[in-house]
Amino acid sequence: MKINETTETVRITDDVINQLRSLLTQIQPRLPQTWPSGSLFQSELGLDSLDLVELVARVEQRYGMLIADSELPRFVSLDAMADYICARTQA
Amino acid sequence: MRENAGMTGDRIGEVAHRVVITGIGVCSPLGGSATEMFRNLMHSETALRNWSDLETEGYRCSIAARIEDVPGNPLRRGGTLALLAARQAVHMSRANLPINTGVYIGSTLGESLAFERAAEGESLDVREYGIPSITDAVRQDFAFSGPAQSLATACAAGNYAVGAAMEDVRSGRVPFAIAGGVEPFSRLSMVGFTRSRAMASDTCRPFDMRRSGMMLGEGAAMFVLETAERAVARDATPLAEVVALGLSCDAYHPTAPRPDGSGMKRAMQAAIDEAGLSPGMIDWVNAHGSGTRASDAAEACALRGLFGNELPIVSGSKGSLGHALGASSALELAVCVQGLLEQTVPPTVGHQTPDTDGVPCTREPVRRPLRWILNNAFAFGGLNSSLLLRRYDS
Amino acid sequence: MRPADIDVVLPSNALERDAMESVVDRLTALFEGATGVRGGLYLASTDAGNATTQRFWHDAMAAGVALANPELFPWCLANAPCAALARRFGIAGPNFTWLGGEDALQAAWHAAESALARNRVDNAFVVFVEFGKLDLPGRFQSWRLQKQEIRRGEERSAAALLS
Repeated sequence: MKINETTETVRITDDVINQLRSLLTQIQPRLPQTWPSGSLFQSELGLDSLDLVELVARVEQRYGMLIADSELPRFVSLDAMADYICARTQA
Repeated sequence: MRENAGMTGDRIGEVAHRVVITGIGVCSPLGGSATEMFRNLMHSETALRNWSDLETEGYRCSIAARIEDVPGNPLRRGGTLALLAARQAVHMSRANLPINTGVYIGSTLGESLAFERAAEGESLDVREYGIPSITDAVRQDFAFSGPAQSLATACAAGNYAVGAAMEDVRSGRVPFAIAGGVEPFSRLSMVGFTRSRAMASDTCRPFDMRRSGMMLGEGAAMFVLETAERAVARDATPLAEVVALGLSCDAYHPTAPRPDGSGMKRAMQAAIDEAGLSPGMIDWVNAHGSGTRASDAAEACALRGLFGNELPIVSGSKGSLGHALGASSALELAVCVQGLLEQTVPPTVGHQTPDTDGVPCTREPVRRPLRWILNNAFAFGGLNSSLLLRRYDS
Repeated sequence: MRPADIDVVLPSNALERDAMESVVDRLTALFEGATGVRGGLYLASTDAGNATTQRFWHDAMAAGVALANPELFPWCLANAPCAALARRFGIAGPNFTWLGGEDALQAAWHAAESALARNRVDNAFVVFVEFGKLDLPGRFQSWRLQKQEIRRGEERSAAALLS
């Protein structure tokens, strides 16, 4: 991969993370303005299963993709979700 | 334990007012009567199947247990099912019901289709399609003017309705009651449960280690309740005695149960305490057993916590009937009564292997003396209910 | 029926969840010292769930049934307001919701009084809610029942039976 492609990938991933952060803040307004994108949803951010299914529903609407139930356990952080979304959209 | 002593004293004061079921009416995807539904359960049949209309409409899950060929106005499907079940129950009871008979009906969403149509822009007053509309339909059909209750306690509503009827019959407030639960098939519920990721992709497996969710059902079950003395005096046949309804609330989460099952356990304990029993006297628990990871795990904790290693027989019917929401505990009450009459617990369709620390359920019919039964039903909002039944002994 | 201990106007045209959120902070004193498994909630409503059910389905149709947002689904259920009160104030005993008019409120009073008389609960709270719609505001009323009231309640019930 060339350097400018890597930079582009990072930029896209950052955009997705920011979009996910915004979606999550809509669901849980008590969350801080920002937090490390590697923070774990359940143990570090205190989100529950209902928050997660709602986030996934918003992601499905936002990116026009269907996500199977079996994929949900992998969504443990913004980073993990962004990686999944980028892989799906690039594929 | 002075409190318990006082409760026992209250109960003794009520021995003269034993409440019995003398009629059952059932409209279910597994049969149009309690006996037919039970017979199909005994053969491990399931009403869950794929529906091409739901598939065409793009639902994430198109498997459900539905009743075909329900007559009448689709917007009044719930009312129709309730009426058919109520007429059947009254016919079986052979009672000439007076006008002050009480009507107690539980449901989750009432006439869901009417709410959907209104949201799509059709000119409908949704207030005419809520649960009270179903209660009123039954009252009007029989020209009753007695007390009416429309219990909106979601998936526990059937148990709540029968419990409320039991209280009013026992206290003498009404001479007879028609009580039960009803839920017409609801596309809104299909969307809600699939999008909440609560629904299985293939089938419902209560308490099985491979379970992945619930599946939707529909139906109605209604019961005629009266005192045992009245039933005997008019030469009717008491089918089972309704003894107590134990209730609690998790006060924990909008949809998820308290994981340790403590709220569910308190509901079962409350029913047992009110009757002055000990857990070891329970012969059979018809579990809520929705098939979701969280609910079945919590119910298993509750059962283990209450009964220890001396578990009674446990069964569940949602692998056969689906989860009929507000009707489910009433349909399953019909299963319990039929099981008492036949002294047989039906198999738990969908259940093969329990979790390591879970609860094994029946996998084939179990025939043995059955006297005391708990019928569990839990609901969104953390509502827990457990209805205690006894085989009728004169 | 005595005047309510809490009588609050609810906003018009609000979903049930938002309407309940607007009132709960004013209920702290009502529930003080009454939490836990010996408290019971007995709620009657003319229309709980109606507004959210229609909004949820409207949104689901807009997004498509496969992509609908499940956020509002639990609030389609009429028992969601009473369950929310239970969570907020830790009321872990019986939790009832009836739909209807005067009959629903009567059922709630009757069940609350009966639960106190039978020593199933130490504290019983009767709630009546009519959610606001269009330009009409809603109403939230609540009564905290004491055990000493029950004798009066029983007399009233007896009088009703005899009449």
